[in-house]
Order: sequence, then C-alpha cells, then structure tokens
Amino acid sequence: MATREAGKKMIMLKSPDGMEFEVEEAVAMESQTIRKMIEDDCADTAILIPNINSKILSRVIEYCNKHVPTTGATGAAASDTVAPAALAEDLKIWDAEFIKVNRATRFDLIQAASYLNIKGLLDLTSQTTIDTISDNSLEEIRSFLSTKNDYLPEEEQTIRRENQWAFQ
Amino acid sequence: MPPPPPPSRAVAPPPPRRRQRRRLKGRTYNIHVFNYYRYPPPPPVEEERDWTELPLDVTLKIFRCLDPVELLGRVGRVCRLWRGATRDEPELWRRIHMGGCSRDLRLDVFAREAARRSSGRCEAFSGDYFGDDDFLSFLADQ
Repeated sequence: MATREAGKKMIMLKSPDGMEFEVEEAVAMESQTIRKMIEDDCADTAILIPNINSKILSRVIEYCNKHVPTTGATGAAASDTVAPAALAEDLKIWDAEFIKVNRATRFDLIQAASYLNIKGLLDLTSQTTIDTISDNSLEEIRSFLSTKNDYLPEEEQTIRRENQWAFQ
Repeated sequence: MPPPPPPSRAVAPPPPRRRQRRRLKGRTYNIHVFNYYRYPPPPPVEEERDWTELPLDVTLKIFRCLDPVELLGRVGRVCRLWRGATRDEPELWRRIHMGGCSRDLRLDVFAREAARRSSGRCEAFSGDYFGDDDFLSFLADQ
C-alpha cells in the first residue's frame, strides 16, 4: 500500500458524466472491483466507472476515504494514540450520518456498492431494507420499495393458502 | 382564422427597438407557436426507484440476512419477482438457520420447504427448537 512517506500513488476515477476524481490508490482499492483492475494491471492512471454518476461516485469516494485503513487515511484520525474501539465507534456514528439520504440516493448507492464490490458500503446501504422487511406489513414493505403488488387477487388467495400449511 | 391585425404603426416614430416591441404586442399568434416554445425544465422531483429491480445478487444478499420464515412467507408475497427469487435460487438456501422463532409455527414444515428449495445445495442447517431423526434423514435425502 502506498504510504505517505513513499509518496501516494494517485488514481483517476472518471464518471460517465465527465467528472474526474483523483483519489489515493489505497482509497480506490477499498473497492474490490478496482483493486482487481489495478492488480491485474488493467488500470493505467484513469479508470472509467460506468453507470455511476458523479454525484453517487463522490459519495462512494467519501465513504472509501473514511474507511480506508488508518495508516493510509487522509483524515486526522491516523494517529496511533486513538484506540481501535474508539475509532470503530467514530466510524459507526459517521456511517449513521452518511446514510441519512433520500431513498433514491440510497438505491443508487446500493447499486454502486454492488458494482464496485465494497462490502462495508453494501452492508450499510442494505441494512435499512433488511430492517424494513423484518418489521413491517406487506403493504408497508411495498410502499418502502416503491413497488406494486403485481399479483391478481385470485393468485394472492392461492399464495396465502399455500403459506397456511405452516400456521396450523 | 382571421388574419392577424395589421401592426399598429406608431403615430410618432419612436426609436426602432420600441416600435418592434409594440408590433409584437398587438399580433395574434396561432396556437402552434407553443410547439416552438422552449419550456423551462420541470422542477426536480425525487425520482422513485423500484427497489425490486436491484441486481439479483444484491436482492439475494438482502434475503440472506432475513429469517428463513420471512423468506418462505411474506417476502414471496411482495411481488412476482421476489417470489421467483425465493423459489428458484437454490444458492439462497445453502445455509439455513431456523432459530429464535417463538411464534406458533410449524417450524419443521418450514425447514423442510427451505431444504427442498435448496435443491440439494444446502451445506449447513441449524435450528434451535426442533430436529428429530425423521427430519435429519429427510435432510440427508435432499
């Protein structure tokens, strides 16, 4: 990994809408997809990230910047004196703030996390969906997902009956 | 359509620019002019995304975090797409943990259905409240 002393290697990430983001290689490598590209020497200095617009890409970079292992971090948190537990707690609070976005943005972030293969971000963005499915009624789930009930009434009846075998 | 009224010529010749404006004011336009009018873009509204259209691997990742009882029950009732995902993806049932459920359910029936859906790919099964010889031999047969 590039360290401050050795001089940071920078990578250029390009979004399809023409924006360019220069990030440390270590930050970019938080994404397993980009890591693989770099390790396989498929990436020169600029990598085009298809399907992720600059608004979302900048948020993703913000996340990676925060979550990159502290030795290579750009933030002030790189101090050795901070206990790992405190750091983890700090990250948790930061994550909670980070995810306070509208649903459309969260949807785009999930897709981006999936494409770029950033496990932490994918876990974070999908947790709300998991909670919603676990805690709400069918109608509430559909409304949260902005999806429609595409079953015919008779199909619904059949499925409900099918499900009843276990509720005897 | 009546012909446009003749442009009102100013009595005293005002500066040319002003005369132009007055001419436009008095003219009747055909309604089709609106076809050429460039409307300002609509104010931004929050775009809605249908979350069931997430990539399948993301959907399955979310499903894997859910209780199998949810997966066998309500999740499939949300929409056809999700029903398909819970039924036709044996990978989803590779590891089954039927635990921590205190509701009045026939957990063994759920467990059998879960194991059936794994199409023989179930590698790990655990349960807190049941598991007799009968079920274990059923599991072994899958």
